[in-house]
Amino acid sequence: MEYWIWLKQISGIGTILEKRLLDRFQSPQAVYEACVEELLSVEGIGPTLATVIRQQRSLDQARNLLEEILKQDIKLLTYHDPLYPAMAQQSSEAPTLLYYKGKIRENSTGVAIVGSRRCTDYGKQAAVEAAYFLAQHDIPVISGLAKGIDGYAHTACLKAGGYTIAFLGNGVDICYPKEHDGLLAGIIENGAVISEYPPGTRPRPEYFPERNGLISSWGHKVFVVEAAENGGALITADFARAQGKEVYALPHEIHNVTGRGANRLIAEGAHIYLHPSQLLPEHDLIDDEIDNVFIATAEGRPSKNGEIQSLNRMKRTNEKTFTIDRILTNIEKKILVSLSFAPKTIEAISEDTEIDQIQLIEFLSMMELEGLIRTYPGGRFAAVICSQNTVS
Amino acid sequence: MASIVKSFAIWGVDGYLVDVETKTIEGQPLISIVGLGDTAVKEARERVEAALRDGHFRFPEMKVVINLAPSDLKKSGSHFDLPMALGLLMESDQLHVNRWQDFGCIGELSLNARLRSCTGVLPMVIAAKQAGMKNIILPRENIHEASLVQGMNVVGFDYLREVVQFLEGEKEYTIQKEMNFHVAAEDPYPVDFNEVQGQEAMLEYIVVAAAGGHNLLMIGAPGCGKSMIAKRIPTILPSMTEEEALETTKIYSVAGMLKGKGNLIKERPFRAPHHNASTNALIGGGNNATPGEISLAHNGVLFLDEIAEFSKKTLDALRQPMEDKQVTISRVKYTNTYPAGFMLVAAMNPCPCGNYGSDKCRCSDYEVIKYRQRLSGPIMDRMDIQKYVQPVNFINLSEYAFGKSSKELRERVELARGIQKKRFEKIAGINCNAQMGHALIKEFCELDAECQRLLQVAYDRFKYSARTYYKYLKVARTFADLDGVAGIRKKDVASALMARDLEKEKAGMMVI
Repeated sequence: MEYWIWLKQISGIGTILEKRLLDRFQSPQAVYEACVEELLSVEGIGPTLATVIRQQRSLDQARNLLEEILKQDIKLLTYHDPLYPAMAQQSSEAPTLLYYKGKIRENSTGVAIVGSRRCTDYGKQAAVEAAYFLAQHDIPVISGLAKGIDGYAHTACLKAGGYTIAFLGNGVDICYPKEHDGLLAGIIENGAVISEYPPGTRPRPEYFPERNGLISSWGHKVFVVEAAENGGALITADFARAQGKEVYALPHEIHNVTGRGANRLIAEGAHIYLHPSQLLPEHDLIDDEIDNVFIATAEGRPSKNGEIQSLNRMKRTNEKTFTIDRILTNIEKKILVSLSFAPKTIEAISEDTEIDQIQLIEFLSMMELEGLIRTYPGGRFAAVICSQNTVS
Repeated sequence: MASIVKSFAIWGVDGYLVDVETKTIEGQPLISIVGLGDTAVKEARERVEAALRDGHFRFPEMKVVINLAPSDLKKSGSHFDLPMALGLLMESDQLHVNRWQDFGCIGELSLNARLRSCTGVLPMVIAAKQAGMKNIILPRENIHEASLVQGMNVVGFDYLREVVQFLEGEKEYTIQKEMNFHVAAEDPYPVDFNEVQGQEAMLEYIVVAAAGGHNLLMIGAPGCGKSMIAKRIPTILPSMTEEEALETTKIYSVAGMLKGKGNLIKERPFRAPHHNASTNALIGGGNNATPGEISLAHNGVLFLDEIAEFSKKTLDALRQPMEDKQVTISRVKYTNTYPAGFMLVAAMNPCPCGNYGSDKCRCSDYEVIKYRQRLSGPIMDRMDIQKYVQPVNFINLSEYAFGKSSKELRERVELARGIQKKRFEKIAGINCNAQMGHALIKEFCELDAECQRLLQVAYDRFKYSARTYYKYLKVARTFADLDGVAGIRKKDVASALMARDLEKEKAGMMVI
């Protein structure tokens, strides 16, 4: 192992040269033991580099690091390890050595979900829905542990009992951002955190593009949920295209600044994301699924005279199925109508329905317990039928 | 024989009797003050000497020893000046008390022999009454405060010479005009709840908090009216009983915050320390172990605006006084126990940017959780009611009907408090629903099967922890009390389940 660490740490040699050396000598130990003449036979290594390699022939540093790594329960994934996915190896940037915590399973490649740190609620819902869906189909969710979309994708995947891998732009012993420490522990337990940087490396801006390359190399498909112009998620998309991966982008409103990057990807030829099933391998979107996304909203929409016909006996198709076997009162109907478009505060509901606020308290509470409406952030409520993305 | 003048000292918020003994003996002319006085007491010798000479009295050219008995208790303050001066005059035969055999006196002397007001007068006069004393002499400015104690002869003067003339019987005491101060204004608060418009649902929970003594946490974007509501909460609390008013006034007297007012504090205190406040400022402390904000808020409201910005250590220091309703402060020189029975009202932003729930907010769930964790679990736990305050559309403000007045709300609160008073009559230390322990909750908050089922559903849906179960019961109890009904109804449980917005939100957070 120490030879792998040694090879990785030689200054002046990058990933590509490392791989040429490995091709020529078969193992890092052979590289270590090779003489200058042998080294010179490798393409791209001139006399200067060969001397540099020979000069750095000391394993002390590598051994120290190895000791440290074992102490912290950090494992190494070498380029020759059978767990190193063949698909990831194809990428020219694939590092010869990765540090990781947790467990890398067989078939660890999956779907990459990336997006901005400062995301909208819409982006969050889409990421959560996709990650949840992938977890249910036992497809690993690959992302970068950053704030926002990355964090939600990992979290939703874990909540659904799925397997997820996070690639870091720092050592695997450092938690960045800090508030993800609980999430990091969760991922280590039910997945893996991987980094090409040795433990103790602090995050630096220049490390993250390389990490983005790793994310896309580990994914069969890349789903860009939300990206501002020049956002980091676009770098991942660039890598994905270079690696010949399919890129999916969530469509956004054209005036929405936070969605411009994703929209641009679509304009440049990325797939338009409409349903999580698109992320399954070899899957063509069928009409039924596209419709399915909209059923939820269409059913609950009030007709022109403001009444909901189908409300008294409602059935939903997916996991959010519920039935109500009683006739709703007029007040309840009124509240549902008011809440079927957007989440509202109790003050706004009162203004809308002209029902006394104090009276509303009891109704809202009961309706929430029955599952007709649900709480939204900031003390707001919305009818469950209008929310399509609920993860129970 | 040494001459003895009675005076008082303060211990915590209570006064006790001190004998100021003065003796002149043959020797080098000097004054020695013994009896564990602090620097203010020791410096009295200079003031007394100057005042006596200025008042055309003779200062004895002998050794003077002044002892403050009991001599093993520490004493502080400048109010021993007057008793020392009187003792010295008696000892040197310049004063013959003809009027009263037994009197207590307090007062600081200026170098011109004028009497200056001092702090802690109310507890001292109470101590005098308890010691069976009838007559008190003090500076004129303190008369108001002293006459809060009924059945005492309180006389106040401006100059040392007047005191001497009065005691010798040369002059009669004329009652001052402004002595008529027991008439208080009908409504002492300058604010009213009817100024809060369009937030009736929120107000309902405020009323519940006030009625059941529940601590309240308001969450809302900057400028949505959290402080406005908090300032009005004292106006709906039941008016203070005589006993409560005296307790509160005593604390303010000891803290030296009654100066200029002098009246009994009739309105419930509202204290709003800034979030930069140190632990000692909040809890009490300093060299003399003086009362902090929590004691100054005794019988009233302690409002912590931006509670998430307070240091964690400071907030956690509140936990014990909140349980015990009192706080003991130990310093090198003093150990004092002050009452601290307050209703805690706090306000905070919902997330780092403050706009949580609106499109403007881009805080991730992890950041939100992290921000909220600035309030430790035990503190959050003590907040029975946690409600969002929604910003009011102020452009349409005129469209809203005027809210309910404080008077109206207070009547409801007083009704509910009356029921609770009866309920907890035989249970010591419990006055309101919020203070119930588990055993009492089991006794007084029985639920029928329907209500039980409701709670069960809520617990499954929102994944509440078991300990919060009792919180909802307590709040439901208060809802029922407000309507004056004996059993907890379905409606009460439903309303109580809406009392803790933050907790409900937690279940929906996408975090691990």
